[in-house]
Amino acid sequence: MPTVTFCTQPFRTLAQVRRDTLGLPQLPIVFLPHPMMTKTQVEIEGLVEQVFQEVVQKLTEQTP
Amino acid sequence: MTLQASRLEVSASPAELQDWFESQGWTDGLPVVPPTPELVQAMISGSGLAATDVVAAVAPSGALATVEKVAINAVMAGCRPHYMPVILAALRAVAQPAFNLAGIQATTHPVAPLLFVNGPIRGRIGINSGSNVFGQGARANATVGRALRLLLINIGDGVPGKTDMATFGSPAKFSYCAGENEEASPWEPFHVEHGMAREDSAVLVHGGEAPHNIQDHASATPDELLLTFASSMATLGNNNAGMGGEMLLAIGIEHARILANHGMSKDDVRVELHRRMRLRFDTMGVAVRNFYRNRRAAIDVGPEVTDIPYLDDPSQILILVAGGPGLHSMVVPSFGGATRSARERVIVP
Repeated sequence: MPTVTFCTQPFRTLAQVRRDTLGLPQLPIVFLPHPMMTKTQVEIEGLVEQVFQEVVQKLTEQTP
Repeated sequence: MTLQASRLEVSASPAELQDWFESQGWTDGLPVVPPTPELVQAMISGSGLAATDVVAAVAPSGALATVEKVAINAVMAGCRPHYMPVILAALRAVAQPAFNLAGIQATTHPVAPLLFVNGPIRGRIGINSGSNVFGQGARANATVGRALRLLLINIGDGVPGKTDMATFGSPAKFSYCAGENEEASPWEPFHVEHGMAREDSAVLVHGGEAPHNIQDHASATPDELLLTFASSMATLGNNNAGMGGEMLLAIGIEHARILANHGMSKDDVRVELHRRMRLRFDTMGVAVRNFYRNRRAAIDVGPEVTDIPYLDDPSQILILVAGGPGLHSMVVPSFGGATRSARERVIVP
């Protein structure tokens, strides 16, 4: 199943280390600005607009 | 015995040498003992194992810790060779999947592996289980805990700001090792409670916050003392509140006597504490309650309910007796439901 993992920017290195340790170097990750937990609904919707194309691209370029 | 590690020519100046170790990212910030081949060989001999034996894979890097690598870090931490069996048991324990070392190394939460040592190995290596048990003063406590931390840094690659994303961290991340005060406890030791013989030695690891004091100089009965314990333990803001999971209660020897002298077993204490520990909804805002609801199904209750049990089950309260004279106990909240404590037998050569 095509999968994308979301991660906020300060955790970029950690996500990349874990991805490689787990033997999944091709795992697509979409990085988002930090923090997410305190964003309003409007801000979240704005973020969705920002990354939507990247998410679609990463989901559709994966081969089974 | 042939060592596998690279041999490096380094400055003989103590100051330059420490600067160099620090520049390599191989320390916890404190000076380290240079791991010369002779010291490493002696440390390995304390394990009774071969240098090349693999002890565990250490998250998040997943790198394999051989006995030699463990020995190098134990030398750097300041350990004596006969501490090795405890360090090896601790490393095997944190590598158990349910402990979730990958999460504990990475999280923003200020969690550190708390080691509790049981059995005769405490006396053999000088583990303090009495006065100032969580404090300074005993080389075995200080350096066994530190050796584990150096292993988490140097083998596991737990680097602050890179793979260790703790928002604050905690002083407990330098070293966090204690002994159970079995001699002053009115109950069976922790490892005996969990199926081992009294003459066995064992290590418990608990992914915990720094300890929080519970001072009660007034209560003379279990009923009142347990109310103090419960109120001190069932607080908002630690991971257990929202995620359940285990909490460790290190009961001071004088508090333990109050409970035991009134006929209470450790199981009785757990059940009574669980009954008294409540997650009260009037102590939290709507957003927090909704956040917790996603993690604890028990919160999803009707509007007439004002509180729920703080923990899901009495067995989630780990009880040890520790410390010296004085009417204090300590609670160690955990990383929450994302970790389980782990136990390992100490294998003495």
